Amino acid sequence: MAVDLSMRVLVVDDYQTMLRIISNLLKQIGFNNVDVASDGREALEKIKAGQYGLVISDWNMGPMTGYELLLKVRADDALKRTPFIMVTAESKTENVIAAKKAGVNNYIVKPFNAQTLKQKIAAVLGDF
Amino acid sequence: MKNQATPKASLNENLGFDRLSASLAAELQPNLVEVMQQSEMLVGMMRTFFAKIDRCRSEEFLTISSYIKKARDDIRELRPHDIAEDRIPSAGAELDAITKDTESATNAIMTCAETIMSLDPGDDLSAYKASVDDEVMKIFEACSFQDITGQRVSKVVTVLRQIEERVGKLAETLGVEDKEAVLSEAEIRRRDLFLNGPAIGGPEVKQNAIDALFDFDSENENEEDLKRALADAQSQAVADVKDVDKNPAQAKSKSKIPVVEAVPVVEASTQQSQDDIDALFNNLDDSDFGNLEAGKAVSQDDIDALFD
Repeated sequence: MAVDLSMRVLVVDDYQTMLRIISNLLKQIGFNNVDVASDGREALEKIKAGQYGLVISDWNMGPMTGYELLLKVRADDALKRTPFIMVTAESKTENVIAAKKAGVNNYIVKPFNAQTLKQKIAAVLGDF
Repeated sequence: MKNQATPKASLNENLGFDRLSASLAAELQPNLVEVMQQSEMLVGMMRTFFAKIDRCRSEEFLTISSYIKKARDDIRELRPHDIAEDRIPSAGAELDAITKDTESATNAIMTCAETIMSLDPGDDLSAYKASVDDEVMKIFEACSFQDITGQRVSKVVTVLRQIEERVGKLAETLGVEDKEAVLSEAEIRRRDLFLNGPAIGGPEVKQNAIDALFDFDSENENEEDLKRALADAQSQAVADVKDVDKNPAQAKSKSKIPVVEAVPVVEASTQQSQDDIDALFNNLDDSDFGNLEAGKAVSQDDIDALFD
């Protein structure tokens, strides 16, 4: 099934630069409805308020981390099916296992390139 | 007058008393002398004992005094005020500047890239080329931050080494041993939420190993199985990179993961790992993933690679 490029995508990162990079990459891929949030708390409010087809989140943020955001999304019946990709510099085994157990759909280690992002989105949502 | 003593009787009584006294004195004299001698000996011993105690105490106080003096001198040599008031704030300012410089350069580069992407070649290709050249020059200029940042980092590293050296010397002087650490609230939060930060020298778990985990049908697996699967994939990823480092041509034929021709496969970078990951996932099914070891099931692409 082809990916719906008009779906709402939420990018969550506490670094404006990274938000800008990922947003630009998503636009290059073809997504034209990209929204951003600066931490897990803001992201959760946005996810609850709007229908997002994909969440791409950093891990290490305050006051709510990407991992906490993932747990909250998966614990909410209305949101738990939202595709969630973690994009993070956290690369320890315990991080990957914890994210996998929490129900993350894919996991990208920073630094990454456009091709990786595209492939992981395809792995989660389907081919472009 | 019957009871009155006669002078003669009184004289006799006196004589008797004198005799008794003399006899008693004669009998007691050796004992008294002995007591006196023992007392003198005891006093002598006590004098020696207390003198010894005084000397010991005095020596101990002298030792403590010289220890404190030495420690104080050592601490003065470490110049703690210099560290607290100058070195650490200065290092902090350098780090702040590094953050600002890199952020500013990144934003400048991204703005140029966005400008280039939005340019319309149109009919005037020379104008288009001139605009692209302008933006590319700006990117080159922005990249000059790296030189300054490198120098700032060197200064911070120097300060950290000085502090490390001084604290180490102080701990050695005072004979201090590490106390068992009590985690602060922030540290407990970092531990519980797995906030480890970036690893030195690239990701601890390579992207291809992570990909293997997500490709693996792990819905019903427990944590130990997941860890084992991740460790297997990680070992395979490291072994493949080593093989490629040693002998790219041979590795290409041995590895289960086909080498992507277009990408140099020398450094164990994330880029390289990702290529391996993708190849791994494109060419292995779930049943293969659990046994990612050299010599196990080989995909058609791997077989093809042997004959390329």
